Amino acid sequence: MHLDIDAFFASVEQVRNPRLRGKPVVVGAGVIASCSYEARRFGLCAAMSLAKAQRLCPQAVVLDGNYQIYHSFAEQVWEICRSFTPDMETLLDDAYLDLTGTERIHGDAEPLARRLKSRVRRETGLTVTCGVATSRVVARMASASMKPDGLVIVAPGGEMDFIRDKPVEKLPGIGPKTAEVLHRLNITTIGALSEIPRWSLEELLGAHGVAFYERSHGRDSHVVSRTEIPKSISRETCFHRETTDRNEIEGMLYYLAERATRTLRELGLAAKTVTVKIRYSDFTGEATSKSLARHTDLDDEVYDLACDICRKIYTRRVSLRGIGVILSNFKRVRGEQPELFDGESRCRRSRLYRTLDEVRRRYGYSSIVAGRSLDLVGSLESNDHGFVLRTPSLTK
Amino acid sequence: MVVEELDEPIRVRADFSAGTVTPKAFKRGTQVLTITRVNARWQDRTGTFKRYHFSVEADGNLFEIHLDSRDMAWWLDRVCLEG
Repeated sequence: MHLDIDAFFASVEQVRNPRLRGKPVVVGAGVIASCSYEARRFGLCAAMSLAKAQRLCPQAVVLDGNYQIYHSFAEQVWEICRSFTPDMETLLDDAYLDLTGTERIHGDAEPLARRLKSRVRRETGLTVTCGVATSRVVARMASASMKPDGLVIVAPGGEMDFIRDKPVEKLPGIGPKTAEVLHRLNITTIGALSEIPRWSLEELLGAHGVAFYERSHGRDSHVVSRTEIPKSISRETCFHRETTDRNEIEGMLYYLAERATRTLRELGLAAKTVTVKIRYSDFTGEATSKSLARHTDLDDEVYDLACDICRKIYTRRVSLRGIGVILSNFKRVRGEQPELFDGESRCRRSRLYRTLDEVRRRYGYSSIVAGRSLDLVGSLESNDHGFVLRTPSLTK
Repeated sequence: MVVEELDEPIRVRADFSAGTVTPKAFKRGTQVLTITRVNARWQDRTGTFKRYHFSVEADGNLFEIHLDSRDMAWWLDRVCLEG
């Protein structure tokens, strides 16, 4: 089952404040992170700039949002889901539930999904859309096909009938660029894509072509796993005021890098590739990735590379609107053998960062401000969860 | 609709049962406000201590209150007034 919380952030705001119900609600700063279905009727959508949103819908209620509240609401929903199955994979506002083997306890999928939806609504006030199918990809397409508050069940054997006539860009993983390549070849539906031989798609789209071939047949080999290693960990934000101040930019970069590496350590991972994204005030942007010589979960190693990348890509004399750090290329950290020469230093720094994590866990993130983040003290407000950013990073 | 951010200690009468806490009424100054509806509840942390937040309606207005498990004190965070 794929479960998606409808217009998540905006819905939470409407639950917190029932006077916002029925009104167009937008959550975001700079760009829309989430908007209510009432706002979508005016053409608003996620990632649209707020200036454009306010032109299209001047009566929209715009809120900054609060990640801690959304996280708490999501956890309440996942807790309800866990009472139906322990095999879950949760993302920010959606989740995959493996219901295999639960039939004897919970009965058929349809009544189960209805019970789940009604419990979520009763206990949290939120509505969710559920798609049930024999594979992840079809379940996800099913839930996407009937939002909000929908329930779609694709019976076993009916997968191809369900997806055949859908546009090829509806297949998860196919973005605008891949869709354009496929359209040029007159492949416009998933049915048409499924008729292309596997080797041909592999030739055309590389390794992704094989995945698209499988998905176009309604198959997905990914196992629902709560311990799945994420593909990337991203921390991005907009500045409160556009800036050219190197200290502020590098202070923010340090802060984002240490938030990302803290998540790495929590997940028991080490990353090898660091990507830095910058966004200029004229909405153009740059992004570059570089790999470290070895995997790391240390703040300073990630920051040094991120700072190096940032200095190389920030070349224009234009103020920055936003910045982000993305870590990828992960491996699990298990009983690593220390390096022969600088192993002692790395071990000590690793212990230091883990101690900082523990202090922050116990006394709040803001109990310690480290490294270049000190450049942000005084210019940014902080609370127990760290600095109050204009656009809190909402990725998991 | 006017939203006022507050940070005000309050006294709350609450029901602790079945593993949950539900605020029933609170005293703000000398005024006792009966909670007619709990719209939403959520949690966050301050260090290791949980804070239990509630969006409640009382006297026709919307309030956000929280219980800090560090000292079991209640706080009024926000009030949303009609108008």
